[in-house]
Amino acid sequence: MNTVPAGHMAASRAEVTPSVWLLRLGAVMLALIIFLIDWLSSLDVAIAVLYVAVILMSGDLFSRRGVAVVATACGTLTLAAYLFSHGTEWLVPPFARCMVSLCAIAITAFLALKNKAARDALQGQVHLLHRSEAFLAGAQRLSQTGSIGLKMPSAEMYWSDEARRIFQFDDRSQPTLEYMIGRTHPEDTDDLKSLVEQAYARHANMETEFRLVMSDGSCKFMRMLAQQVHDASGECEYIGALMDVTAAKNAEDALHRSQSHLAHVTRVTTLGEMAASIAHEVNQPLSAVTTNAEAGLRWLNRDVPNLEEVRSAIERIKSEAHRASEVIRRIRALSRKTDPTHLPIDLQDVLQESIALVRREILRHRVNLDFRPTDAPMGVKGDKVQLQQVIINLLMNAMQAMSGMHGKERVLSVSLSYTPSGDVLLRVEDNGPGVAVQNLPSLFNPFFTTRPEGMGMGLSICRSIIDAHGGRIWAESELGHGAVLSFSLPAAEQVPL
Amino acid sequence: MTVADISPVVFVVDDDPAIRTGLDSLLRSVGMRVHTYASGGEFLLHPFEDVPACLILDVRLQGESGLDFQVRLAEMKVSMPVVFVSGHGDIAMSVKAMKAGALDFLVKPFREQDLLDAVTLALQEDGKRRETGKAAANLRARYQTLTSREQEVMAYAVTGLMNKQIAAEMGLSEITVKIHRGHAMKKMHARTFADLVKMSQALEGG
Repeated sequence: MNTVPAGHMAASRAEVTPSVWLLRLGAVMLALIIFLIDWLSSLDVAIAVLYVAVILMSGDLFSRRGVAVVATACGTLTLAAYLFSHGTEWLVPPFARCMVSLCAIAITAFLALKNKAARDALQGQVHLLHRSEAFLAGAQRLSQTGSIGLKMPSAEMYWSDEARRIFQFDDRSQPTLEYMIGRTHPEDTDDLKSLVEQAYARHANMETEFRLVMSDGSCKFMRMLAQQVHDASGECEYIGALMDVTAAKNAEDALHRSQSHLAHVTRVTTLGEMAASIAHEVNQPLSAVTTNAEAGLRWLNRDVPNLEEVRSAIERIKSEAHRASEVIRRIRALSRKTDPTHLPIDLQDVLQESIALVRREILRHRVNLDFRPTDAPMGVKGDKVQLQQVIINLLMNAMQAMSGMHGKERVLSVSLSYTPSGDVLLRVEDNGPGVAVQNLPSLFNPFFTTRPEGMGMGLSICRSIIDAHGGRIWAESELGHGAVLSFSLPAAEQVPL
Repeated sequence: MTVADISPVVFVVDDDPAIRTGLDSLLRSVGMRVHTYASGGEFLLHPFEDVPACLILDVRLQGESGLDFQVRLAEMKVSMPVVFVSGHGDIAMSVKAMKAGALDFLVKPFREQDLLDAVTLALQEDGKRRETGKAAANLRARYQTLTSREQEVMAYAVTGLMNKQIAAEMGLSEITVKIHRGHAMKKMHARTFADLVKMSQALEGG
């Protein structure tokens, strides 16, 4: 606090303009004229009282020390004029007049100095205020955060420059709530309106996110926080901070897009690894279809057609065609490139569908699958395709882990349960060679692989998918005793039937 | 013996029930007797009939593969013709199967006529094999009825020795040799001496 007035004085000294110099000269001239009249005129009045005007003038022209110097000079001039005109006589009326003048000069000087001190302090405050305003404006501009004040119930609004800039309001117009809602994205107006209703209902704190549609059609993402404050008169006002989070949002979206793209690529890669099995899965029903069709025709073309045989052949054709299309449907669902949607689903369904997809691989790897479905549905909220991808990845990894194993039964155990904290837990356990302890932490890192043909993306994608679902994925293993990979997801109440 | 019991039979081993039923219906539609099994093990549990038979075997079976099963059958001296069917034609796989004595290797989905042709051929082969097998067994049975002297005489005779020479070799009279020789011809059902020579060759070959 102390340094600021000094700083301010330094600033005012630096700011001395020619007009101030002129005024200072005028004050000096005035003082000289008063001195000459006081000394030379024979008027029986206290001319020296007029020095008061010089001191008052100097209040605006000099610093406090300057004012003190001027006051001292005026007093000295008064005494000098008296000595020049009246000599050392005292106890005469002119002396009394001189004393009155000196008192007037002293009192005025005192008041002028006090006034000057108060003005200096005020100016310091104003300066401080300007500076913090500049700080705030700079910070707002840099962080793209604007401030909005809303007085209730008059709905009178105050906007900071940055807030205006964000909303692209010009400086002249006075933005209103309607104006603000008008700029909002049509899908978000209801949210904002309900927020305004909350303000009318005097909710203490409010937070929301909404989009703006600018005049050029571009979209901005806003985050707004508002807090209720009461002023001295008891009026309620909301002070809100409004942040333009478009860049962050865009970066986040881009990240999500590239993550889902990567997930898709690895999904397709997994399907590629399963290609032989998938071809077999489709070929098998197709082969049954042609065989049954041929059999049906032959039964029909006999001298006495056997319609019962024909009928059952056609029925088998129908069911086998369904079987083939079901395989294709599953693969298409898995290979489709869609944005993840988080919906309530039964994890057991997802698991069974995944097992159906890798059924052939399980046979091919000569693995015994140990899985007992539970009676109750295991509801979670998530993206079916992505969760399927995670499960298939875990199953394939487990099978590949056991593929080098001979002379021992290969067992793949899959189980679904609830954790003590109520999360849904899926465990995939193999009895393969296991993972070395030093490799466990890096298992989920991108490009970490123990297979020569592995890309090392599978488990890393699994982790980002499970993370995005608010879940956890981890591995446990003892070298030589297989590995357990598990993930848990928060349970969801409703599962559509 | 009823007619059904002597008509040929086709065995199908495939782990896919839909393929099994399809093949069953197809083969029955052309009047064949069919038995289907999900695995090689299940097939072996079933007693074999003494009729011409063939086996349609899927290469990719759950558990023991078709190729492994083919090897096991050979080890068990089950010489039934095998027609392989496979989900995908792998040259190495088919070569292996054919080398191990498979009659044909069809890739799914195959032309049904091809399969029927292969099965028909297989049954014919098996029929022939059984005929020759049976004839050889008969021959051996007849040979067993010969006394050791008769067998000895027969062995000398088929090398082209005269009765007199055989008698000298064996230290018998020519008459005795003649009698043994006549018994041997009769017991072996040989109408001419040339028949006896052929039978002897067949016995040595078998």
